[in-house]
Amino acid sequence: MTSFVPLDDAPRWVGRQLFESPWMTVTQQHMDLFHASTDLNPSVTDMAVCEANPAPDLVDGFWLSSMLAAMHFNHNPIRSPGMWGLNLGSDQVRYISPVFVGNRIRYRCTLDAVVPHSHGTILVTTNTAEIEGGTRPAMVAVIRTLSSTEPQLPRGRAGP
Amino acid sequence: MVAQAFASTRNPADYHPLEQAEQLLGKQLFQTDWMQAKRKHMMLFHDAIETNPEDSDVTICLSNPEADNIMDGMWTMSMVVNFHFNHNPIWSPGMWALFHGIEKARFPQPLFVGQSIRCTATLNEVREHRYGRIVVSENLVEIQGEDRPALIATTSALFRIGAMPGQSAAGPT
Repeated sequence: MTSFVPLDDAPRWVGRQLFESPWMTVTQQHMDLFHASTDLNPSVTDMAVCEANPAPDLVDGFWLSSMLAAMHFNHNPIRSPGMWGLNLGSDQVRYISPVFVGNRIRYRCTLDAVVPHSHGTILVTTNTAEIEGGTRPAMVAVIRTLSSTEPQLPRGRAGP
Repeated sequence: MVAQAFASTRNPADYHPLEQAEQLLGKQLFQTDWMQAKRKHMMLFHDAIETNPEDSDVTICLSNPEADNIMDGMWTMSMVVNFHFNHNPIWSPGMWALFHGIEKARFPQPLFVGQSIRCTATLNEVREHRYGRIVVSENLVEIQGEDRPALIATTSALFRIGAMPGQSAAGPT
């Protein structure tokens, strides 16, 4: 990351790439921890649908999406003192090419829009996960994040 | 081996065959029991996606006034897989599923450690795909005692019986 961009200056970055991450290897440990965190193990979950999958080393699409948190923590240059982020959701996510354990991936992020919000600013980004040596991306995801420096999270009917 | 034993307990007569999935269009597929979002889930999830202080710059996370207790929205989203594994009535022997995408997802209300959630899924669409059938469902994840849900997500998955032709090169789109 070169330097931070204050949240107030984010509109100037619309249409530009915010970051490109280094390559990282997807390991079996990532999958094991992900499955443990979502109770995807045979002692508590019916894995019948999973067992019939002819590619047991296939990486979960939702893990690919979830990794966006780490990518933005580490590489998103938009940051102001005291700023926090809340994932508001996705407009569209596509898992285009399968990723397998052992593949190397990286993420690119472009800022699509900056939208004022009563509790802060919504940043809309398009995030692409690429597979090293692949011709098609693993995932393209448009996500919406509420960025704010307010002292409290919006909750209840005043929620985001 | 344990997993194989679990699968063998499925009786096709208890499920709705994939080829007749459209008969469930517009209907509720399932509603889960309440389950508690535990700190253990959150910590394992952070390890899985490398958002702990050893792996990531968690400055933004630490600025969050409720950082210690808020569950990641993507954890809630990821639990949809679990809910479908356990409760989706569409199944045929040899069937497997590949998540194809999220049409739209919103997290209207933050979820906190200790709160309980349940998922209600409705079948929105079934369409043919060169590698199987795309099944689109709407998933509502409620928080016990709260007016607003933790998640509303329309997800699509490719359901297929048997191996993919040219499996390693073929993506779902």
